[in-house]
This record gives sequence, C-alpha cells and structure tokens, in this order.
Amino acid sequence: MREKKSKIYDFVGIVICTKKNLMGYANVKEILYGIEEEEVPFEVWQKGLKTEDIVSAAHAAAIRSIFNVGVCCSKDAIVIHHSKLEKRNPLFYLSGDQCTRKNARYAGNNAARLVKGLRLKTMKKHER
Amino acid sequence: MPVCDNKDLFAGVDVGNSTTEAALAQWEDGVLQYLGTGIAETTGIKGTPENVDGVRNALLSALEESDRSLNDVSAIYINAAIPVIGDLSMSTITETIITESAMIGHNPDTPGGAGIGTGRTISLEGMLNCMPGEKVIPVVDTHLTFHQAAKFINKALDAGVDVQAAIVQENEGVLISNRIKKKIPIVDEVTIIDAVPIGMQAVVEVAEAGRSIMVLSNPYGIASLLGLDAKATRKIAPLAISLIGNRSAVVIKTPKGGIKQKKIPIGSLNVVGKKYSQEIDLSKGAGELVMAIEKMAPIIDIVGAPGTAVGGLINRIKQTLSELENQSISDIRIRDLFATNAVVPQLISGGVAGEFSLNAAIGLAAMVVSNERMSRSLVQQLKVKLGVDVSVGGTEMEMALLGALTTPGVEKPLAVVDMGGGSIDAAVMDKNGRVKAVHMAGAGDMVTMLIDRELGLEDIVLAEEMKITPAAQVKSLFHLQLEDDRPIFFNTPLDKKYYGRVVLLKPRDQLQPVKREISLQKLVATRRDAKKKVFIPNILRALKRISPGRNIHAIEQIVLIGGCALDFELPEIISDVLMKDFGVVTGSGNVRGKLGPRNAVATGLISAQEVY
Repeated sequence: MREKKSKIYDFVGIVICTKKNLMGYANVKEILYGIEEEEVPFEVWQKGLKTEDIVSAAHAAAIRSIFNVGVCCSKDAIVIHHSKLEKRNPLFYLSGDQCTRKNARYAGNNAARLVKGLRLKTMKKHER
Repeated sequence: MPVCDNKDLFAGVDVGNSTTEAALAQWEDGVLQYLGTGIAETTGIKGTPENVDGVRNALLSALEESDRSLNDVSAIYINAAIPVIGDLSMSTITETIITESAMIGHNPDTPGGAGIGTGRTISLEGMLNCMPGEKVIPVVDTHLTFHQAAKFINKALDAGVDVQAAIVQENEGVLISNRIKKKIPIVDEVTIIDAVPIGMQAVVEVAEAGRSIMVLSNPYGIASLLGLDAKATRKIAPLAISLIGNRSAVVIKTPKGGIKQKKIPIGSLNVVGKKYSQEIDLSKGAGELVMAIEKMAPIIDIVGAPGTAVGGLINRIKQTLSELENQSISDIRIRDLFATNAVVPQLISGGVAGEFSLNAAIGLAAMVVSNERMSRSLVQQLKVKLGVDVSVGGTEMEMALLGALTTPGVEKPLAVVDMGGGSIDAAVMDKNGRVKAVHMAGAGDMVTMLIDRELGLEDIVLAEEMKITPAAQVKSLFHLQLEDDRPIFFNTPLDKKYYGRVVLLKPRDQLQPVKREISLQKLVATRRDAKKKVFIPNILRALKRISPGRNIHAIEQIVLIGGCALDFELPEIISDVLMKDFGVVTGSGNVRGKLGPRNAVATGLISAQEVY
C-alpha cells in the first residue's frame, strides 16, 4: 500500500514491524485485518524489529509513520505506540493471555481508530 | 418572638427539599451584623422532625466562619417549611413493534462497498444452487472465515449469479468487500444474524463515506424496490424516517408487514377545577394538559385512572403524603401538575443488532402540599434538641423576597423565582411589601429525568452529571474541543480511556468519560432543550399567576435564586427569554452582595428582624 514517499516520513500509513520470520504469525495477520477493516492505510516495516525490545521498535515505527502510529508484534506481545508519547509509555501493551486473535484484531482496529480520532475498543483479558 | 440582646447570636434557617441553609447574625449597638453562612444536606422530608440533624449541620457550617459555638446561638428563625411532595413519571405514547427483522437504528462504523442491492436473502452455501441472473443477498455468519465467505461470493459471481449485496455478522464488511470481484453494499456487525430471515426480499443500501443513504430513508424508495402498494408504503413510512442520516441500512420485506408503530393507551387525567372538571387524553401530548390546567387554575385536584401509568403517578404521591400525615388518601389533593413532551429511544424487541427506535413520550411532574401541622412538630424538636428559642418567621417566599432584596441593584417592587429540584416557587412583592406566591411542579429533577430518558442512559446519576457539567470532545492525545469549539491543550498525554470520547469537565480539572455512543452535539442539544422545556413554560405560567393583571410585562425586576440558579447555563437561558419577549430585567441573585443565588430565605429571615 505504499502510495508515495513523503520527504520527512517514510511511510504514508500506520507502520507495523515484526520479526521477519513472524510475518506468517496469526496475530500479525489479525492486526493487519483490523487496520484494513477501519480503512486506514498501513505499511509493514520488514526490518523493524531487530532486538527483543518491542516497545522501542513500536516507537521507532510510529516515528516513521506519517500518522505517528506504530505497532510492533512479537510471538506473545503486541504494542501500539504513538511518536509523541514517551518511549517507555506506549498506548497499549498486550501480553500473555491478552494476546488472543480477537484482541489482535481489536488492536488493529484501535491503531486505526487512533489515527481517525475515534474512541478505542476495549481489549478484555481471556477473550476467546 | 425571641428577644435578642446586643451580641446575642441568632440564626435564620431555611429547610429546603435537598439542602438546609443557615445565616448567622448578631446585633451590635443597634446594627445588624452578619457573621456566617452555612449549608448542609436536608435530612428527612422537608418540614418533618427528621430535619433537626440537617439544621444542626447547617448551623455548624455557618459557625465555622466565626469563633463562636452552637451554645452561643440563642434564637433560630425558621421558614414555614410546608412539606411538598413531588414525583415524576415518563410514559411513552407510541411503541414500535417489529414482527420480523427490520434493522432500524443499526448503523455500523465500517460497512463495506457502496450502492444499493435488491434480492432474496440466502445462505452462502445456498448460492451454489442458484441460476445465473438470480438476484441474491447472502447472509454471512461466523461458521466460515471472511476469506471463505469472499471465495463463496466470487464463485457465485463467476457462475453468473447476481450477488447484489451482503449482510454480515462480524465487523468484516470492508475485509469481504476488498476480496470480491464486484463492488456491492455490505452491512456488517449484525450480531444476532440468526434472526435475519432467509428467503425474503430485501434491500441493502450503503452510502459512500461521508454521505447518508437516500433510497431507504424515502418511503417511496422502499416501495419502488420492494413493490409495495400505497397501504404498505404508509405502514413502512415511520421505518424510512428513522433511517434518515444513516450511512447504511437493510430493509426486509416480510409477509406480516414487518413494522408497526402502535399507540399505547397512556390513559387520561381528570382535572378538577372550582367550577368544572375536564378529562384530558394524554396521548395528545403535553400541550393540552398544561393549557387545561392554566385555564382552570387554581385546580382543586387531579384524578388518574387506575391501571394507567399516569394514574400510578398520581396515586403514588398521594400515598406518600397520606402515610406521612396519617391522613386518608381521599383527603389528599394534587396541588399542581406539569407535563412536557419528549422523544425517547426504546430497544426494539425482535431486533437483530440492538436496534432502537424513537418514540413519543410524555413527562409528568406532580405535587401535593401538606398542611402546617407537620412543621409545628419540627419546631418542637428543634427547641428540645438544640436548646434554643425557635420561631417560625413568615412564609418562605416572603423571606426569599427579603433575601433577594439584599442583592445590589434590586429594589421593590420585585419578583423572585426560586428554582429548586422538586419545584419552582415564584412570588412578587409590591411597593408596599404585599406578597403573592405560587408553587409549581416540574423543576431540576424533571430536567434530569428528561436527559436520562431522551438519551437512553438508564443512569440517573450520569444524567445529573450531564445536566450540571459542561462537556467536550477529546480530539487527540493532547487536546480536546469544548462545546464552543475552542481547544484545550494538555502538557502530558491523556489516558486512552478518554480518547475520542465525549467527556464531562468536572471541577479541579477532572475529566469524566461518557461511556455511551452519544455525540457532543446530541448531548448539548438534549441538555439545553430539557432545561428550556421545563423551566421556560413553567416560569412563565408561574409569573402569569402572580403578576399584576396576569401581565408579565408589568413586573420590572426578577431575581433568580435556588440551586438551579447556580447552573452554568440556565439563568442565561431564562434571562434571554424574559428580557427579549417581556422586557423584564432578570438575573441570578447575589444575596448580601457576595453569596450568589444561595441563602436567600435564610438571609431574609434575619433581614426580617430589622423590619419588625
């Protein structure tokens, strides 16, 4: 979905980063479906997650996004971040049993709703 | 009448329906000196012995400002607190019933595709058996993923089936739309998808982003696409109207006709006046009832038919007072009744996605007034429990007028309007100090009820918060937009629980998120409208009864007092009407030049000691 390269930002959309070998992971797909349903453009930053520090990676992704919203997904955690927030204080940090497919979908919805200025959906624990 | 010596502390105490106020004063060499002001919650029903605790608390609150104690108080002048019992009710006049599904009020955030589709509802698998050219609308539940659903639709399209639209259970309208070969309207988030009938003719419409539907919000549009005759078209007209402004809609043609708007027998009231009685059918709306009461005022009683909602209201308040006074119900009279029209959302039974429809309703406020016997026992209790001299100092409204006169810029003749929670009390005092007063049902509590019911909150506490607190819309993590569109910026990011929401601006910079799907405009409009609907007609009818020759223009000044006069927008709403339409100078009082609209009666009780 890369439409054009802006001079200051790299991607016109929400930026999602993950480990290259996790692209096929179900949660990552659910996040992307969640954003797609809300009709906000997004970009996957393939080389985004180099270390285990998903919070920093999400923040770096947010900085590269023209909408200031970044998402980072690992095997068992999802982070939604905003470039204007403090690096260590992301908007959402889901881990463990919060990382269900349904919540991953909602996380995608919420990243998009953050861009659109709409109220966020609640991601409950143990939601199957 | 207690005699107060120099430096003796005496108090004026006003027991109201919700608050008890006190004013403290002493004589210093023949000059009246105010020493303190206090307020506390009223304990028990106004005018009963249970008020003693509230009175004590109000006095203690007033004493905080001075270095004196409760023992120093030698006399209390108390208002003639006549118990007034009010009650409220809201009854719908119409009810919307659907015999089969017709998704009114369902307006999902992200429908898929766009356009209009007409066809027969069918399951995904059912499409495999369709002939080419058949117009169908698949109903998609969750037994398949959205990928599989899209595959089924594409397969059907390849086989020449005319797939016109889709109805989807999950929030996946866009996802499906992006994976199929034809651009069709898709309505999603239909939670109880099993209730959507299969094999029926249906129409689905989705407008482009930023626009509203145009065909299904038009009764003739529905008639054209579903082949309805004139009679059937008239029947679905309310449904079409309720779809106006939606971004998407689904209408299903069912053999039974689908939707009915039924009139509920709300009942009638019999208004008994001095010369004649009149039966008013409430299903005609509030206007007729209010007019009838004005024509016949002062009324003797109002009787409601048993088994009806309004009959229940009347009987409830008569029952409460009868228990309080040990009087038989048949001796209790309704002093005043006020009605206002309302529109309330009601959950439609038989709906498939939590739909609701708007129904006409009527809100009622009724009031019964006791006799003086109650307040005498309160006076006794105060003498005993507080050990002070107590005397009843004149009527409440006379004291309110005297208190209002301590407002800078106010002189006789004047009128005062005391806006409380349960009632609106108005009085005029002419140049010679003669007083005329009235008490009307329908005030602050009725406004709260209207806000609660018209926004479908089912939370009277939230409704009260919305009534008294300005609201705003959170626009980003760092700013929100006020009602007048001005922004407020924050140095630190707002918590995500506020993001994108309407919030109430509580004192000390606290934000309260409104956990309902109500837009800022809707909240503000409903709030202001509720205040206008209750206070403007009620104040006008009160003033008409007490003004010289029933002519409001003859009143020169009006002072607004009471709890509702502290509201952030109500006094201006009232002043605006009274100034523009009647030329009367109106404003919130400023008792003793510093207390605002509070403490008028308590201050008046003290001020009266200068007169006598």
